[in-house]
Amino acid sequence: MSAMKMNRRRFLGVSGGALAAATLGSGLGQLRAAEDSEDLSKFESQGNKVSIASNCAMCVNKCGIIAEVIDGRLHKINPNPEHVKSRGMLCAKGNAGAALPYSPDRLKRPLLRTGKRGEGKWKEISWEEAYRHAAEKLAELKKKYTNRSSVAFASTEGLQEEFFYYLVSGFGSLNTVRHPTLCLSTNIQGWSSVYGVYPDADLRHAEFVVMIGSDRAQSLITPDSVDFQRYKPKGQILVYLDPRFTETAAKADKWFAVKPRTDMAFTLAMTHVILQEELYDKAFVAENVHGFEQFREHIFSNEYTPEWAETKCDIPAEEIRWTARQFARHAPRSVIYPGRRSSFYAHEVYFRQTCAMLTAICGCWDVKGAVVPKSSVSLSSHTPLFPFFYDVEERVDKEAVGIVKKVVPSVVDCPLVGTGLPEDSCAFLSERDGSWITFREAVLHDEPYPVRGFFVFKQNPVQSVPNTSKTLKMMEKMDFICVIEQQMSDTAWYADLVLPHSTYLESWDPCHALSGIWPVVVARQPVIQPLFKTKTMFEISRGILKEMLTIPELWEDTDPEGLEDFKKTVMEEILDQPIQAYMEHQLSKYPGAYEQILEKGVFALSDQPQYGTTRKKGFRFKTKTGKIELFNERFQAKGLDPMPSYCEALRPRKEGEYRFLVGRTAWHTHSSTQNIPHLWEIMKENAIWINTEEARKLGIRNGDSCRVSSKAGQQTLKAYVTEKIRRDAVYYVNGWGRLSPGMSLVYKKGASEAEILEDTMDSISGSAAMHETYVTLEKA
Amino acid sequence: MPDEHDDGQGAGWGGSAGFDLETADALQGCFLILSLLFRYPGPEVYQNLSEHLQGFEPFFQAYAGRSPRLIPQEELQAEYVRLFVNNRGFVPVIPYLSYYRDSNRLLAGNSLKRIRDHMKRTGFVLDEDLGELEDHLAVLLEFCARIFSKCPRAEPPAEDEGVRLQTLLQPCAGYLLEAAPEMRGLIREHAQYDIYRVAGDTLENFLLDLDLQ
Repeated sequence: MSAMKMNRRRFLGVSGGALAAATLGSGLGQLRAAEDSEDLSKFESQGNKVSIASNCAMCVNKCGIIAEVIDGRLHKINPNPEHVKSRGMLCAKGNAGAALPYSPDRLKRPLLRTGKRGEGKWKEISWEEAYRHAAEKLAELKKKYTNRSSVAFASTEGLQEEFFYYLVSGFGSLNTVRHPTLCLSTNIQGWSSVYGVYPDADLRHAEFVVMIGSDRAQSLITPDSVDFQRYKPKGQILVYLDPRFTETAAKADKWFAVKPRTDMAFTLAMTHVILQEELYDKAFVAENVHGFEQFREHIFSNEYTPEWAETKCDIPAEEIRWTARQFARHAPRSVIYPGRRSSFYAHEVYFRQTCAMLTAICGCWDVKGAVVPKSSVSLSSHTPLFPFFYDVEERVDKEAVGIVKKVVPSVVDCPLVGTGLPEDSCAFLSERDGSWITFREAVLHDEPYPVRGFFVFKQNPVQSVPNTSKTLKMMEKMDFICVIEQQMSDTAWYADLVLPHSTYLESWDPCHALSGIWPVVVARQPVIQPLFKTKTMFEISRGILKEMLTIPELWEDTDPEGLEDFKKTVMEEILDQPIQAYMEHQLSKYPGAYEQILEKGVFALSDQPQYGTTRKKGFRFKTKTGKIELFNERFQAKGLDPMPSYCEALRPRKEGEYRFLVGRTAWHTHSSTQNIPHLWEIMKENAIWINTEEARKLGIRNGDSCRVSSKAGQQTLKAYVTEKIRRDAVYYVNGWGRLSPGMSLVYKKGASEAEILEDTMDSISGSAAMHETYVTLEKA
Repeated sequence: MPDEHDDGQGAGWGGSAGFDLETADALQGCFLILSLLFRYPGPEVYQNLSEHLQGFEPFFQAYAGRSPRLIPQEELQAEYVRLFVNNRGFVPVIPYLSYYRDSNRLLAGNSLKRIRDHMKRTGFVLDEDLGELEDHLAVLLEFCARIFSKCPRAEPPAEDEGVRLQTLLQPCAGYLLEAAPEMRGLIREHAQYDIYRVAGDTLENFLLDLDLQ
């Protein structure tokens, strides 16, 4: 030990006594002396290793995980081999989740804006202050607009989302907007219009699979992606349509570089072949299908032949015939894969209908290897009673049809508009989902009334909703924005109040029945203690609602009895109880299930696939006729075309425009994971795919910096010159080109999708149409 | 640091120069004022900074060549959050030691474990209500200050008291010293107000001067 060489003059002129007394002696200290009697072993690292089962939350799949924790620190996440749904698989994102709680960028305490919105001036506040502030702002908004729907609530799926809806229902707004209209609502609407439900595909047992734009090798869905990788090599035939040669295309038996927006010509022509050659399942059709004769007449009278389709979709007629015949030959173990994210085009619901109808006429339904309705493990539900409020107006996206027709280009330009659209253009929105594009237009135009409050849970609309500048303008109109997030997202940056949510590795999340061919129940338990002062949505809803209950003005438009019911059934019986009690009740039908969830992270009634429920005699489908509908009675009643008619694709506005395509990679979830170092290592920026010949015409070489422009915006990124994309399209994956100068790994790297996409939508489902934007490209 | 300030009276951790209570008291104060500066300036912290910062002027002058000037509380809070808590998607100056010392640039790594164990062995534990990590800069600086409260008040201290205190201090202060240059650089790059630049400069120079190797 060397002698201290400090220069005494440098610090001996000060005295620490007064400061020590004022801080350490007055309760301002952060450390405390341990009591003599205190057992300090809990603070000591002893190398204790435990394995805790839970479920991933890095994307929507909720795959099984086993967390390896040493002395309270998460060291590694392993896949759960006993998880029926994820089949012992954990992807790169799931592995990288181990870094999430330890991200230095995560939110740690509630932050309240003190400067101008977006200026970046914040102060820390306590949770008590945060709850009070949120409750007071809700009261102010209610008083000012005398309409609870003047506050909108946006969220994304997740196990805690139901508690966000406790807050929504406790306040009483009808304006909620979720992710499906940026994701799979067209698919849900299309398939449901035929079968009454949105089914899964049994890729494990299918013999013949047609995948249209579902890049299952990259855009991972469990168990589908696992089964696809595992069972495809064992003899399954895969026909894949995509304007790009993707990882899935590489594994396909046949890949057709379909012309974008013309997939429906392919499926209609397949149908034509099957009907004309009478390859369909006559017995199944006779017993289960409504409208077959009208449908056949519709297909024949419109002459949806393979030769016609070839001129539309660039797939040879003979290949369409071959696919149709093979499909029928392998039926019922043939699948038109329903897919997941399907917000590609305007008119998309009708295309999805044709996929469902093809499977229906061949009887590829609810048997091994076919398309199968999801089964579910029934959970015991709680019965929260929320007050009925009087000062509530209908949702804006139901009332704003006039606005949407004026401003959304697809609705104006789509050739089918005026030939069957109902007055309420979003006729089939799910109750809570809303339509993001319509909602935003309504807010921007204050029609039918002003929306001035915005609560956001786990959504990042600034990045995820097409046309970022419009989203920012919408947010500028708000009197108050509260964002509940784990990181300072681009949306949180424009909030007034930011509430830090615990990561999925630090929280108890309630049980969730994941329906499917292999239905399971999942839940989460903390594998580590929260590092900072973060909370879950369960706790946040409880905190804000409790504060709301202390403000009488918030309850003036409800009857006292309803309010008392709310206090008892929501506050006392649910939110004031430990969340574990809530979970135990959910599983109360199944003795030992709660313990199994804690031990294994998953509960299933069986590990065998569930088939045949809808094949039982007398089964009634959830359609208007109770049958599988090829002629849709609901659409007919709403003034829509009851059967799918081909709609010509929008053409480029001028020479030199390319259709812009979006897609996914296996190592990122939308725009939420790019700044995670382990994932960033795999892919450091995005690049625009352009066909070799087109690149040559434009003088663009591989790696050149390119400027891509649309009516919505402009971005700059590197070129990836390749034969793997059609000449009339360009593509880049989303998640880069971030607005935030602080997203250190991805700031100024690559390009944003939301900045380029025009806000075009499918007129039936209200879903954003992500592949309807044309762009130009030039060397930057 | 410039030598003109050196009066040649080295205050040793041990040996003939001894280690007196005045030294312990002064060192405690220096660590404490730095701890306060690197802490979120809530009302009480801000109040204490207002009252005591001036008394440490010689200290800051000696190690940074200038004194920190307090700015209005709301501005200071915004600056603190912007620099150390959350910015748009990242934190310019991560205030946690694990981030700098452990290879994967994450929080709560092995360094935190070692620091937590050392604090425990020294008889201190973090206030659990704080929702903070032991390797936060402000916590570590407070820990260093508290080491000196362990100096027996009876005069004169034992001859090896300085060595004993240095032994207690070294693990945490040593970690601080390792991270200080990078943190100081980041503060210089990102701070909008001089107060945190002064704090960063002082921290590094002060730790260097302690000669903890």
